[in-house]
Amino acid sequence: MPTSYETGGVGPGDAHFAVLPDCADAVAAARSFRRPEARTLAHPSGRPWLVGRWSDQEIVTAHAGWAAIAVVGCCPVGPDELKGYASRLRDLTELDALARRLSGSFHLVAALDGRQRVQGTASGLRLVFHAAVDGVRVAATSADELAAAIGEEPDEERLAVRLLWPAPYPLSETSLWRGVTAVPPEDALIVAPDGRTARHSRWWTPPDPVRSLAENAPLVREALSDAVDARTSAGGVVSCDLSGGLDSTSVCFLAARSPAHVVASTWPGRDPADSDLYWAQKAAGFLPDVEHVIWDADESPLVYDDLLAVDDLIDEPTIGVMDRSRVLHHLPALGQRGSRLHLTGIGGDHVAWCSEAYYHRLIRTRPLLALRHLRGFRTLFHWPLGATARALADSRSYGQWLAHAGRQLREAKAPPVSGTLGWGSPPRLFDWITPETARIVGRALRDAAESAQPLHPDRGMHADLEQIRVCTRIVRQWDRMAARAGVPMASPFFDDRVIEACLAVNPVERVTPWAYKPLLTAAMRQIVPDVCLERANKAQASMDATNGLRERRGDLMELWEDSHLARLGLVDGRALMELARRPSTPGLNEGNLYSTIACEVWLRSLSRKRREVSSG
Amino acid sequence: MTTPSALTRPTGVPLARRLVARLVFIAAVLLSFLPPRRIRAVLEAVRHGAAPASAAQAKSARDAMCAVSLLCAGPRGCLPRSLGTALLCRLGGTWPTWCTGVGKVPPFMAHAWVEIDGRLVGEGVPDDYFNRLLTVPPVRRATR
Repeated sequence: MPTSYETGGVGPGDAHFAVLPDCADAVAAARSFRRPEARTLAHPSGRPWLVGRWSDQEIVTAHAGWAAIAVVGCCPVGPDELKGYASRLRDLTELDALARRLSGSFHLVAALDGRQRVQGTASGLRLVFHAAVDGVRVAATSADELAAAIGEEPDEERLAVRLLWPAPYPLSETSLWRGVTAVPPEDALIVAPDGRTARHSRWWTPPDPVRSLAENAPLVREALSDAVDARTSAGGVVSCDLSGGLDSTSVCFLAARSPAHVVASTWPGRDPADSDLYWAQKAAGFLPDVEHVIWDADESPLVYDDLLAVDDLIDEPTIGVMDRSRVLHHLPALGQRGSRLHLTGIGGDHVAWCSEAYYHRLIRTRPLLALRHLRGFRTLFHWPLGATARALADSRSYGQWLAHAGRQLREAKAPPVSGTLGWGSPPRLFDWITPETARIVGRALRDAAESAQPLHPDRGMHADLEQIRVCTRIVRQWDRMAARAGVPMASPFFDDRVIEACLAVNPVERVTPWAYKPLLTAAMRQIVPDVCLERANKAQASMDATNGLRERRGDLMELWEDSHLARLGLVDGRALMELARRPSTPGLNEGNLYSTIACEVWLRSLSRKRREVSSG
Repeated sequence: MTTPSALTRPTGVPLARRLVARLVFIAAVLLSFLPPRRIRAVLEAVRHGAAPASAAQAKSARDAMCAVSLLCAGPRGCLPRSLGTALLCRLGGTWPTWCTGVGKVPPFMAHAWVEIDGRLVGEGVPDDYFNRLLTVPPVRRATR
């Protein structure tokens, strides 16, 4: 039987670990991951298998003969059920089916006859990386642990690529260290019995978007209910965002049906007439057993708050730092109300609203219907006719598009519709990025373009998958920060089963200008009252961002005064100081600064961590 | 700020009413080109003799406008939509309060709508979302 021993108190929600093969050399490699607080789960041979942090609530393991399975994260599978799977396991590829069946969000690790298999989620919320540590192929849930183990510094070229806004797929998914390989979310890592040879094996493919909305709405309801149940069925107190938006409202109503006591948390926008609160109160009126907490809008942090204090970034720069304070702000107070877990509505936009880029194909396959919808989209989003027609006519491959983008990094921003109906927003580098950096990044893009394949041949499905993965990379860091702040977060919309159920619906019905999130609305009928499903608009925190930029310009000045990026020669620190002095400069409020701030804050937090390690 | 995320195209509006709404739409568009004080003068002239509209009547007129015109259903069609709604009500012998105003906080956002007793009709935002700049309410007669 495996032994698991605990050497320090670990709160739930922050499971991270390394996976070691069952060979003699791995014992030496395991030392790099043994921190004072680390736990170890052993192979049947007694050698270390998993080394890291997790709490008892977030791990289920099973052994049977030479097979072992560990599920780490949130998953309603029981030990006996898992043991059944382990005892029937004859080949590691059989786990593809298991991984596609279980609900929740988790890492799946398995060993069979000396072979290892490690995978995260298709959503990208739980990732897997690997590196050769002391000659042994070690997998881990975050790249920085591996980088520390092999003593490598971040690669400047890869860092430069992250200055792009936005960084396009697949460059957005490579690790920041040359020696650390990222496993794509749709792949599992397989390590051979020698412990040295590794390959990626595809376990997930997106569904064919062919089912009708009516047919799949019950499946979406079931998947989302399962996702919420997986987090709430244990009872206790859970908190939920209740922003007034459809996504968090749905999660809230589903959680209210569980044995858990629910605290709904509404954080009105600073905009005094923001309609979020109006809708949140409407929903709360139907939930008499739910405790509704409304925070004081003026006390909520602004975008850009507390950038200088960020000390909990993991393995890559993230624009999530901009909103970090806002995301974490209310967690301590919810913790005081007893909340053991905070559910968010994040991801609803990504699975239920989706990309209009599907119309690039639909205009060719069902022109009349596509035209009717496109006419609506044009009215709704003010797409200019010429740019719309050009975007629809563009038939470049993903590689061609990427190569072309690599030659246009300094040009003015493309009209939004070209990104919306195309492969994505063409990435840009801004004036403060040095010419040398621009050359490096341009080359990296053109190199990637030679072999780049989109996530799906259909632009719409590619865009949906890319947006999910872009967002989960942010949420994964927030989740870690939240666990540290005392109340772990969970985002049920990003469970693989929910994503699959939603994306299986024909985009003609799912993505339409005539209804807001029609799939989610249909799935939530009878669970969420009709009057709460009527909303067809969305709050924007644009004012918070503008004010944040103005009020936090001192912090930004400080950030650039001692800029790590400038020292590396990647940016012009003086130009950035100049911008921080003039926060109202046109164009600054469109996120142009985000990638630069993200990289700078990450480098800082990295060097701080290194100082702590060397001094401690 | 709140942005619309879908166009509402009401269904079930009878054919005859749709035809009338189409004609009213043309009048509303023509009217929308006039400067605000002219619009106000026109509306003040036509509202005479009409009874105050109920919320249901105003909503039904608004639905008819959105059903016949994509412009009216869209986020930039608030002026022809609100004018058309008021005029269509007038043809039925009633009058809502026609309003223009601006959002209470930046960024600047001008809007036109109709309301009944201070309650916005079909806008999906709270009643105090806008500051009212120009209003043309029904004429209250001494005896109702």
